[in-house]
Amino acid sequence: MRIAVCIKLVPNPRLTIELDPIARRVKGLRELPTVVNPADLAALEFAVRVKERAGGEVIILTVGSFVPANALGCADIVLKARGLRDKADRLNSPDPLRRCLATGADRVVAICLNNLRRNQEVNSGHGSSGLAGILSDGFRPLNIDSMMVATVLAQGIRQLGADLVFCGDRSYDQGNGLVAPVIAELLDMPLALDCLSATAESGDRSLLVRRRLQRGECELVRCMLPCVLTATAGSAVPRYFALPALIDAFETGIEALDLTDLGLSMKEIIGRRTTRLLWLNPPRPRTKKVFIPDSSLPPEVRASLAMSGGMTQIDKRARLVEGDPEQAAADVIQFLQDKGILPPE
Amino acid sequence: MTGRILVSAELHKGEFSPVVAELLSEATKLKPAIGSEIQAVVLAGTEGLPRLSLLSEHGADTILICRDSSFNECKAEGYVQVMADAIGRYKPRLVLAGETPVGGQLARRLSARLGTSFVPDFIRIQVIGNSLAATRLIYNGKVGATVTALREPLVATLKPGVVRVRKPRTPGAGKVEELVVTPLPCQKRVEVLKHLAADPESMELNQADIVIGAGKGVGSADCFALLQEFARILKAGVGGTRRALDMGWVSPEDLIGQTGKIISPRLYIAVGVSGASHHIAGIRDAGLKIAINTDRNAPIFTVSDLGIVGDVRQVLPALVSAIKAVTRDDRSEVSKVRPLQYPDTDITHNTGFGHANSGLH
Repeated sequence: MRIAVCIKLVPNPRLTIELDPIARRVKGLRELPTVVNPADLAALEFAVRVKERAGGEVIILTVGSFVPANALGCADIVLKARGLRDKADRLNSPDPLRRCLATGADRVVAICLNNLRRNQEVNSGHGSSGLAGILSDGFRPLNIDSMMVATVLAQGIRQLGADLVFCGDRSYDQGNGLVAPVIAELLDMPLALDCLSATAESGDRSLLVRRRLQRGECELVRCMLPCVLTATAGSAVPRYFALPALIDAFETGIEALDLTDLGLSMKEIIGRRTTRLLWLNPPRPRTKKVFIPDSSLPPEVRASLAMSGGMTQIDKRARLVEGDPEQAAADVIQFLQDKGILPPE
Repeated sequence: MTGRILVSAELHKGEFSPVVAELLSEATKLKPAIGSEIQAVVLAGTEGLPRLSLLSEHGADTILICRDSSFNECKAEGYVQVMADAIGRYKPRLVLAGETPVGGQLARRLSARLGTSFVPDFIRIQVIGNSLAATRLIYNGKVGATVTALREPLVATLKPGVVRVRKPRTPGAGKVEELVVTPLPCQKRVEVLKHLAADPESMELNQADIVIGAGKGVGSADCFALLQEFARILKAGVGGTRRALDMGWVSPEDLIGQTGKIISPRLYIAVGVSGASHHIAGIRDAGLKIAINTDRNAPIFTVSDLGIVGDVRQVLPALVSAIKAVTRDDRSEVSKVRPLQYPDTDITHNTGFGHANSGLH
């Protein structure tokens, strides 16, 4: 079973994002350390679990513009592109894609949107922008939107011939959630959103998936393969990997593909763009009505009112029931029945 | 340039989803700028429909209905195809849907199929020049971005609970039209085998319909076990005050109050809770409130609808047996207090010092 996992490298969600309002972009986006999008980590975990039970390989697909390592002065990844090999000291680098390999993926395929020369080393740790936000072709920023990225990924999956595709539901930075539905539409595959567990059924032609719905409800569905599944951040804990696995991961190269390898042209992809960013602004919180206590009241009353949001001012005397516990219980049942919470006798 | 606004009036368990009213409010706000007409699309299988005039009361000028038995099984694929046909026929400028499991998927697949612009969780839509622009939050709410739609129709989703519903002064015309589309035969590639109802024990307190809060008056672990039994019968979530947390009965996620969760269930039962103002702040949006306390002057009684003055240790067993009689519940054993399970460890926690998760991850 060939399982593809679509991964996006995003700025670390714990970092603060500063806006440069004049230049209409995020300050220092290119220098922010990138991590794997949290939802994609959950998707990868589900993929590895399916692989363990049903066998097969897990291939990670990621789209971005990858900066040559030499340009940044830090030697990082190994690029195995068309037979060329070059090693460097990588163990100290917080390479997010390599960690994915260590947690159970078999291959990583990076689709580079900038014109990367084949025999250059590629960095995917600090400073790379695997972001579908502001990308660079070396000279000017490209504004890539989710529809374009999803189209490229769909083509990559079609070329890989994947039986099963796992994606994160939304990315941390743009958060459109378009990738999985677009892949499902373009490749005509069934789609199951928000999975909590996925098990391959015997026969390998279908998958039993437990999906999360609203308000704590779940449903159990059977999806015919090939299909697309999404996972939300936190629905699966990424597994612990031991150091030998990480070392082995650094021996594996990251395959870099160009758009021409996929049979697409940049012009075709740009033609798929559907939105253009106009401007960024700091979020304006919605005005919320805050309760202000009457200033003529004594301070302890005001404090109590402020803490409870005005509730204690409501001088509602509850209907009090005293006495026999059985009688009280019967009163409660009657009350609940009157209000429609319990069915009437 | 005027055009239509199409609103997806999705159904959830036989009623219109609450987000539909919010969508129609937004559409009514945008009608002067964008559209000439607001169309609400109702897609249903063979289940019963709610009152359609609800849609026109909130501003729908036309109500397009499509009912087909294939929608019972193949919701997602069937809906996309019908909506795509409707868009092709009526050519709206804006298509609105709610950011719900059904609506979100519909909107995204629709925009993929039509190759048109998509914006999730919009805050504001405006017209800039000739095209529509939508404002939304990115980076998990840290930055606001305004994007312009290069293709029309713009498909946008609205997060439920954000917009305040405002009924228009003059309701919409509400003309009901049948949407005549032959849906494709259901391919049955995603087959729903079982629907699992929400499990109140593992559900988050915010989502529960009924919540029982335990306070100091509960007193002992045995009494708390009885309270959990009560919750099981009522299918309620169990939360507690700081006292309950200190005694180790509830986990920090189930703390109700200003420093914990602020909940708004349909029914809240406060058992042995005095009603300090920070706890009341956590439950002020609850629907009905019942309180049990020995002190008839306890503050909790000022905010509850029904109050029982008595000892929890006597009232609670009476309540449990009464409710078992009403719901004809046959399980008689009350197990010991269910131990708390922290998500990443198997440590069961019962100390008096609150949060004992050692942070190993």
